[in-house]
Amino acid sequence: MSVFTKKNLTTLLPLLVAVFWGFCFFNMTSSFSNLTSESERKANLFATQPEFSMHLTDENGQILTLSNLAKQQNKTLVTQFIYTQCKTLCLTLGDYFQQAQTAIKTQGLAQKIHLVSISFDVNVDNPERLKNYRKRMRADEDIWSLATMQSTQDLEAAKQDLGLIVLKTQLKDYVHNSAFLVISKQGKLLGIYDDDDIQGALVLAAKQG
Amino acid sequence: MNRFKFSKLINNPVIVWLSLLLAITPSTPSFKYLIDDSMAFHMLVQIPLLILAGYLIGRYFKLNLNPRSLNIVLSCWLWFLFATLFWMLPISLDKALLSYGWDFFKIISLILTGLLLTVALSSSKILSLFFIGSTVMMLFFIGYYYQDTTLRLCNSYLIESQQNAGIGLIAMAFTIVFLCAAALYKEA
Repeated sequence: MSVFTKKNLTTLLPLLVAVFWGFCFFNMTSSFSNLTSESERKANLFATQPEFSMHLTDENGQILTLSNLAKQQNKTLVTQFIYTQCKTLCLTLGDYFQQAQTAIKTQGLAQKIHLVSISFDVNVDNPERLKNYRKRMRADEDIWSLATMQSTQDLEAAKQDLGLIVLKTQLKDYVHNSAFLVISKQGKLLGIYDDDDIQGALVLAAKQG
Repeated sequence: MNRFKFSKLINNPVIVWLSLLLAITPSTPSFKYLIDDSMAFHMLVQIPLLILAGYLIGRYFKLNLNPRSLNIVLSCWLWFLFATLFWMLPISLDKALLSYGWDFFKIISLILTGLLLTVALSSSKILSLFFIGSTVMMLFFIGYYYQDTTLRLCNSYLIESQQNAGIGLIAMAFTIVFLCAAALYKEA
């Protein structure tokens, strides 16, 4: 037992402190890989493979789920989360989807990739507003679907399962995270791309059979 | 004369326990909105207050132990450095808001940081300057990054809040430098 003398213990103390905090950092950042909760969210999505079972309403008032839409279209889906009254981020996101639409047309990928914009503004957005949004965005129905979540329950499910985060600002706008999700024909999550990397999402989607 | 009054003030038990109460209050459900809404309040008010409360408690109970062993002092400073860095990570701030477990750990670990700071500061001046210098650099660089980046690092906070916190961290770094310079000047 002579190892545990007072002198030895104080010599080890700095090491113990370093090990303790090393453990805390390790635990908090899931082995030093995630410094932000957004990157943790992405890693977790791949690990848990959530079911895309939230109920959506499209602009014709039809009820659908993402998994069903993927099977129905028999195409790989690329999704984004928006709300139609948005004046900032979603406009950029809309631009990206317009560019994507053009790219899909010119590269003849219309049979392979399908774009979906999903609104999380359950209290405001309805089929009517989605129709207006389609006009504004000049979205082609064969390539680009629009839908809104049906109820606050679906929004909660998206927050829980997909890590969607929506914050209200003082101007009653929303701030939200906005990654593009790529979903296979079978309704499996294939990839998550940052909101400035639509190109990456399209490349991955085009590679699918 | 002035200094005498100041030390009497911070050794006043009312002030000591009040600082502890104030530091813990934003983590209670009814005052949670304070740290929920503002990253600056979380990083620049609550976290420093927790450390301050620990420090005042340490002083009140005269917890300087007359540390003769360099290892003990070094351990205290290491704890201080790791703890402050840990609670400046975006993911730590997010999780402290979302989970009571992490929030509890935040309170305990930062009060302990303050307690150990009492021990750390009661020893070698050179060592103190070195570690305070490291902390100031950390504050400055993290603050600079927070106010500069267009990435929203915390899912729970708006980007404006993050920029304010960044500017605040830089201000805090300069304040610490100023206080250290004042303390050294007084001693010289």
